[in-house]
Amino acid sequence: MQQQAISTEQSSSLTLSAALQVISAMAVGAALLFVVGFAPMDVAHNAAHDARHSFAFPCH
Amino acid sequence: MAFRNILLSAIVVGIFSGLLYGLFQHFQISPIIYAAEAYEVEDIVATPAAHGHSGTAGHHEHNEEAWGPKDGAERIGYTIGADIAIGIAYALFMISLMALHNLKANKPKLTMMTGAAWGIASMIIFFAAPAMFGLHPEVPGTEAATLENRQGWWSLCVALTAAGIAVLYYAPVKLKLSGPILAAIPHMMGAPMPEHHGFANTDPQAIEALSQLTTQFYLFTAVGMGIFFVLLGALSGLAVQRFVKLNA
Repeated sequence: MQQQAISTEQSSSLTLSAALQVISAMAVGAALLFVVGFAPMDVAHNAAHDARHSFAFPCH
Repeated sequence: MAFRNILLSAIVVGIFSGLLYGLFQHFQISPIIYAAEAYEVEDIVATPAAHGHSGTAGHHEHNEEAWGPKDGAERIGYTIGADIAIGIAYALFMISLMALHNLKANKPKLTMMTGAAWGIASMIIFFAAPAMFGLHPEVPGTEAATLENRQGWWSLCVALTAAGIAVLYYAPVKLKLSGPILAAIPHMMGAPMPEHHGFANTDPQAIEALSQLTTQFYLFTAVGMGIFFVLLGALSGLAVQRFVKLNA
């Protein structure tokens, strides 16, 4: 009986974290896209310059 | 661990599609960028005090002090690295949303084929809507509006096109029409445009050459983006089908 209670609790906490994990993955994607494609620092711009142009990101 | 599986899948998918696009870019797109840079004129506002070594032909820098990769292998390496990083970022979005779709939506589960269709939708979201209908792909040396305004409009356009396509696909029939309306909003606002169109270089020969380069650039980025996004979508669909399982 006690065993079952624990497993129910585990699966419900997994449901919550599934959505949270998907959101975290998308946040990592957004951060990466910003640094490579949009960050205004000269160093980031110069390193990724040709890639920014080729993905038609706004540049310069 | 959904997060770990999404991240690992996205890294693999991003490496494959970014590397392929990097190679395509190296042979088809970068030569156009290099050719356009030969016509670049010194930006007087950005570099008020031009130094002696500023005339390095074909090398692009905003700021004389800032680091930039050397032309040749180093620049090519950074470009392909950046392509892969952008590939991983897009794959993270794609695989996350596909996993959510499989978990929540009352629609067929993703496969490689439906993944490729998602790839076409992503090309519309990230390339066609912002670039073909708004801020056209530009070679270096093209006059354009303030960067921050264009980046803001780009982000808005991508977000609203994505929302519009999602509404069109998932919403009940009565509400589907609001999808295209959402996607049309940024275009009714209009993309930020420069006061006068043209190139920083005013020499007639340079303008002629840059116009031709722009046409080529437009064509090859469109072809390359098509290949990139269809591959990214198909691989993401496969990854979601095989490796990413969310617990309902």
